[in-house]
Amino acid sequence: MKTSTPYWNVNLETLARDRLQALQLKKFRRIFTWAYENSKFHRGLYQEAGLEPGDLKTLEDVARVPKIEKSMMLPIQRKDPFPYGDALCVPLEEVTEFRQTSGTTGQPVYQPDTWQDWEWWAECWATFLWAQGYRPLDRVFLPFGYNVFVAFWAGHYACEKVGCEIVPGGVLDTQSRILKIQELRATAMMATPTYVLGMADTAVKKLGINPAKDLGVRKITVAGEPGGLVPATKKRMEDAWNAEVFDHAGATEIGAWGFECGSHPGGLHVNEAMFLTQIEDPETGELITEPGKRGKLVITALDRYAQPCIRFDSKDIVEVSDQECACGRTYRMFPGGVVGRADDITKVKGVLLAPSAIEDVVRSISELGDEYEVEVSKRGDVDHILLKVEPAEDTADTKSLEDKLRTELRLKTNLGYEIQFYKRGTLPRYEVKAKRFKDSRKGGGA
Amino acid sequence: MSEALSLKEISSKVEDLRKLAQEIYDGSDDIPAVNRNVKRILASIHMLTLNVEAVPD
Repeated sequence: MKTSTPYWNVNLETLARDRLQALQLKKFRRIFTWAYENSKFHRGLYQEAGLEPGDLKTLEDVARVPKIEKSMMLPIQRKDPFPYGDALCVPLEEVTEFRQTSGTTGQPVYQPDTWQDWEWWAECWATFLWAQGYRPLDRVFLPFGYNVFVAFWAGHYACEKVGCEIVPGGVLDTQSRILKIQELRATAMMATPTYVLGMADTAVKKLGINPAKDLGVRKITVAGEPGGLVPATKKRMEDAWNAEVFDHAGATEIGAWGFECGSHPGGLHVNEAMFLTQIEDPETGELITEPGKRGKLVITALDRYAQPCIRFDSKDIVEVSDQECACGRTYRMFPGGVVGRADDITKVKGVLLAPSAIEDVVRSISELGDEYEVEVSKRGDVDHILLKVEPAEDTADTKSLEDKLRTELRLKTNLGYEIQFYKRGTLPRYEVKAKRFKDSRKGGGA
Repeated sequence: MSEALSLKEISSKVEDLRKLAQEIYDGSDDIPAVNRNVKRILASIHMLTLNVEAVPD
């Protein structure tokens, strides 16, 4: 096998746009027909909209198909067959995989997959791991608590498919994981940005190991948080590990739909042979096609069959672009990746605030530690933002740091903050999705 | 070293594989060890099919 080819599947990844779109239409019609014929929920939804499979003649027609939102899944999953309900398109005996969403925005949703779907999950991951330089000689360490969340499960299976040697870090604690990486000379790793930084911190402070010099991890694939494409966070991770850091995007209900390639274009490619993406205005629902405009991502997994994901309202905010990539892939790209969440971007004092903007400021100041928390609340009738940070060193001059932070925040977010310094190591540490942004005006965390 | 196959040739051979595997699957109800293993093979063949799927003109 030629390992020098940069493409997992050159035939799909470099397909001319018109042919790629023809393939997407063919696949959309196929999955739509499948769902219509095999799921009571889908059939009812589409019949109510006056749509039948034969009505979809062009990609423009796809916009007529009703969207599915996460909130619709909970009532569905109270129906038979237990525990998935009538969006299930296969007999229960075909289901081999159970996963669930993390429930950060409400009740968790259950996600069934057949073995065929699981092959597809691994294939989506294999596509981008290959693009990121993973090859059969890589020894990949997975510091992930294998559990009900899909997280890096598919990464594990994709590594096997690519031919890498996979080392499951499972229930080991952080220090044991670092020592195992050292002992086995692991060459690559996958984790959330928060945990990548946390591991480096633990390695240096608890074990006297400098990952950049003493460990051989040179590729890190991150997921679960926006940090992989937040410039300051990415730089911190790359410096701490002396490794190339790659972002990817996905979700339990959707699949792994986006990835950063080896050319590091500052954005995510969409795996368009497997997914159809549309971007719409969050308020009007109109499709957005003009480069530079941002909108909400509506996405279809074109080859996932047990519980199809058709025109799913992801709530992810992305930017339209016609930018070409040096890697040669014809897949569309979203500059900056997922730049926010429709349910995260919030108005504070009348100004739109994206939590990732605060992250970029905090992590761009080298005298600050990796951890921070934001609390938005009401003080009387006025919105108030409290930012909790830690200095990188206990001896730091917090007064000048506070001034610097305040100026940068004002510049990047147009807002004023109350800033509190905490002793290094006292703010919460996270292994999976970090919950740093809390908005008590909404009656809970975002 | 064998010569590289064209996409069309690969596609045709994948279809042959699928038919063979399906035949074994359909005829192996009494032997779980065969039936379950060939079921997995069918899932892999499905992925192969998607990888060489003909693009409409």
